[in-house]
Amino acid sequence: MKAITSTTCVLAFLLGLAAVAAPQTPDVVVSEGTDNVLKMVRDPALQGEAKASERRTAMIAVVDQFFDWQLMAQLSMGKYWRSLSPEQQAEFVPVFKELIVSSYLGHVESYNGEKIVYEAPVIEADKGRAEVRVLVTTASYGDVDILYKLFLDGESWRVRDVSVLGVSLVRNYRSQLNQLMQREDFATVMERLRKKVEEQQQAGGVNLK
Amino acid sequence: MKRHIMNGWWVALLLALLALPGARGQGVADFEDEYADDAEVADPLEPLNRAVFTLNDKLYFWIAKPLAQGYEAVLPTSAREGVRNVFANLAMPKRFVNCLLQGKLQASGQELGRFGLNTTVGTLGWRDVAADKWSIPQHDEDAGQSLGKWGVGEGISLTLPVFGPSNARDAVGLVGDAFLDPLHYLPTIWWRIGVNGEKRVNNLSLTLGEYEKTKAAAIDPYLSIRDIYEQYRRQQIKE
Repeated sequence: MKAITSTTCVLAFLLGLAAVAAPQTPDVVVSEGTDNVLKMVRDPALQGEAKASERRTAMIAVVDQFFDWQLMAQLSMGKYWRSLSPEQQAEFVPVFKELIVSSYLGHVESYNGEKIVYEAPVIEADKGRAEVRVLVTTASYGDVDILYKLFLDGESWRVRDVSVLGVSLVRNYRSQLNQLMQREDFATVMERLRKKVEEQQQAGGVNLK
Repeated sequence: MKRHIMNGWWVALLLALLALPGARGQGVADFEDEYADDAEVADPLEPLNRAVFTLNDKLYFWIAKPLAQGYEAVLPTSAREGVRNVFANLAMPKRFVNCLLQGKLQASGQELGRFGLNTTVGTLGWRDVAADKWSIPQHDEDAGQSLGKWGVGEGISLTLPVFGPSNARDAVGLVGDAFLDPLHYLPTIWWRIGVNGEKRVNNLSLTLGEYEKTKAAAIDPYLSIRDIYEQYRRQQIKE
């Protein structure tokens, strides 16, 4: 009897472990993440101007789970990443994240029930890479093609780049930073970033229309 | 029993976890490679382009946007979408010819079919019935893309007054496409300006706020929009 119990316990433990460790497929990571963010956009408890910062915090917490800001920041800095001291790198990442998160959430908040289709992921298991294509049907722009690029970070898939209609976010920041770092020192570039973040916050961060 | 489970897929997972730190370091370098081959935009006229960019920015905030907002307030979305569809339908010759120039025979046929359906069933193009009912997509081909398909490079980056970001190749393309645009054959220059203005204000009223969002997300709006334009064009040419 005791043997059976202990076997069951071990079994339950192992199964539990497996369930925790089982990686969600990349398309599920993207669709669940998006759904969870959208839920907050529509959550009655988080509506209105007064709740804006609360809503924002909650949304960022969700986005944090599937976006790898550190990697996106690093790739956006490109060849200049190595020239930065660890302190400078640590200074750059959160401000960079703040800038993208605001614009990302701005787009998400303007969501108005458009049809979203998640295509089957293209997974390169050996390289730990995956791509998930999402089609959003809008009235003003027709079908908007969004491509999420993910990588296997330990046991979970995380986003490292997003392309909208073929325009990659990392590429875009990379080309700007490449030009700016050529012409200016790090402190000046940081100054620009901080100013942008400040402007966004003054504009309410979202809904600039 | 235990051994049976151990044999399963999650052993592989455990091994993967153990191999993690090395794997990730490798990964970043790989991702670097993906972006490293980006051709840089040639922009010898940057000071001039920036001046035109600033001019366009003022034109947008002082003239185009207030007009589009007033227009938006007066006309319901459905009417503005109808007007947009009519203009898009009239622009068929440009798309048709450029599909042909790129050897996209099926797409050029679809453009003709769309024009026939939307002009008749869709009431002079007011409704895009070809897409809605028959799922025939529009093919946004233009002369800049045709030149690109034939191997003509972008040339230098240009910011055009009113038209916005472009490059040497696409600016030449715009001139070519103008001859395929029925609006180009309106009787007087004032008709042309008026009708094109209506088209632009109408279409802008449906996308208000996008320019502001793009600017807000940019570290340097000029550099960002220049890059977005080039990335988008490269993608369009690839398709």
